[in-house]
Amino acid sequence: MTELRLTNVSLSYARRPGFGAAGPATSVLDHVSLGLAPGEFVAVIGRSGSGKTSLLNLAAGFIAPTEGRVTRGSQPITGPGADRAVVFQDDALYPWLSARDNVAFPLRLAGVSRTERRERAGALLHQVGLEREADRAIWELSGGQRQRVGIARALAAKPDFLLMDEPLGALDAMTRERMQELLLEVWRASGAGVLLITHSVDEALFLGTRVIVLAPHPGRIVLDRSFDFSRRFATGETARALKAAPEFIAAREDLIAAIHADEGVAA
Amino acid sequence: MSEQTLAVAPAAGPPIRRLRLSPWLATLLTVAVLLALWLCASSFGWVSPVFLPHPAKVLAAIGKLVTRGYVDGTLFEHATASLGRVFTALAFSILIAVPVGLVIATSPIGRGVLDPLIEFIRPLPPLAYLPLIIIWFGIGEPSKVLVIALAMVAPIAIATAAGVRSASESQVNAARSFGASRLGVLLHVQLPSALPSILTGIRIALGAGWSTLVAAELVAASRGLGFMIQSAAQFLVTDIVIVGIFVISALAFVFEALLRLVERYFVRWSGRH
Repeated sequence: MTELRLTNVSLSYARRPGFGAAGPATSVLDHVSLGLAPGEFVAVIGRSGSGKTSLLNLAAGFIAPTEGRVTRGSQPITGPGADRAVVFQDDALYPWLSARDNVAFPLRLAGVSRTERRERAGALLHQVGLEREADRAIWELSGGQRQRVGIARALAAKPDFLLMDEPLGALDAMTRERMQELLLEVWRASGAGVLLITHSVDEALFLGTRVIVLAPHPGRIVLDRSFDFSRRFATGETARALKAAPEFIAAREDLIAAIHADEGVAA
Repeated sequence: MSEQTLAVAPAAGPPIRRLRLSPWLATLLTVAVLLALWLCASSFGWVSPVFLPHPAKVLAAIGKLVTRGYVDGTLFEHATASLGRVFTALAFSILIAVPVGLVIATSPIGRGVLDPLIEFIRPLPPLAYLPLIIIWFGIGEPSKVLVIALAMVAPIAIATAAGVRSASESQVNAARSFGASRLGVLLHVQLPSALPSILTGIRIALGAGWSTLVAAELVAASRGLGFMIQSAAQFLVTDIVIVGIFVISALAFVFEALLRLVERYFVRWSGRH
């Protein structure tokens, strides 16, 4: 499997005509370079306006960069593809389908037979702990359950990369902690490279093998560091103990300082 | 002991209720009052029977219409002729308007071509284009269906286009990321999300269809409720006119109710996401 790479990528939007005089283009991302290897878990964090979601949309192929290249190995990425599955903040599920049929949706597009689709969707729902909700309607599920359906749906495509845009952002704190552990399990089981956009410093630290801090206006990388908390969780340390460890707390302070560095405010 | 019972009794007994008007009761009362007014107006001679015949006479007219009929057709035959036209027109307009709406919503060029056409026919009164359609297509059955269908196409197309846009950007992007083509996104995401809106469009279109019925049956019809009403009006047979109006209204009501049932059953998810 080859690496997903953004090389010297810039993204800017021209001012819309009709809103006063044509000003300079708004720069969203400024010369960002980032590689995502298979099996890696990269958490991206930053204030509003730092271009986190744009970064994910570029990697997904939903948008094209103004400058720079997005590549998979030697191949340029020209659009979305089943090798890069996306989990959305607003879950983006299809309410006219049951939980099972939502998960089976990528398989249906891939032309998998009906019986095999049902079977594989059932297994994926089991993996995210929703086997009993398989035939429920989407609007009958809670926010956390819906995100789990979204994750199972993304896994159905057997992607090399999972791109997650604040998937836990709308969940309550308790559900969120359980979902973080689920994300780690899913990541380990699938072997996919994960790009996670998040607002939570704790979440980035706990989940990421690498944490990227973006600064806003224009979006640029100000910190790129590796951490091993997620690997330590995998080897049996509890989430509670890890998040209370002195090195976790120190790392959190570093990240918060990096996030607010250009504000001139001690965080 | 008796004191205690007295103190407790009002709370334990049924709560004191004032007469509460439920919506159903309000509807029932409105109909009853209107019927009573009609009965009085006819019984006491407030209005001439030519303008408003006695309710009993209208009831008798229904009986006569069902058994013997009026101008070569029983009530059932007139009703099925009209229903046939309205639903043939509906079938054709759905076949045309849903694809038109999909194109308007998904293709800028398609929108540029079709949107003005839809906006052109949308406000036209059927009586305005009826002569032209008769000149072009003659006085046969196709013209009658076409007149009704023209009134139905615009609401369904506009509702379809609006419905397609109700699919969220991330719902569309999700399908794209799983490898769906533009056609795949349209069929698997945008069309299903448009279904509730399309059903609403069909309800509006049926209303427009019923209001076009009389115009469609104005020329060279020998069956149909609109035709029946016009024939009766020419000879001042007011009771038949009134029966015709009631039957059209009742049919429209029944199909509206059926469509709402379909909505409740097939697009239960609508508005709950």
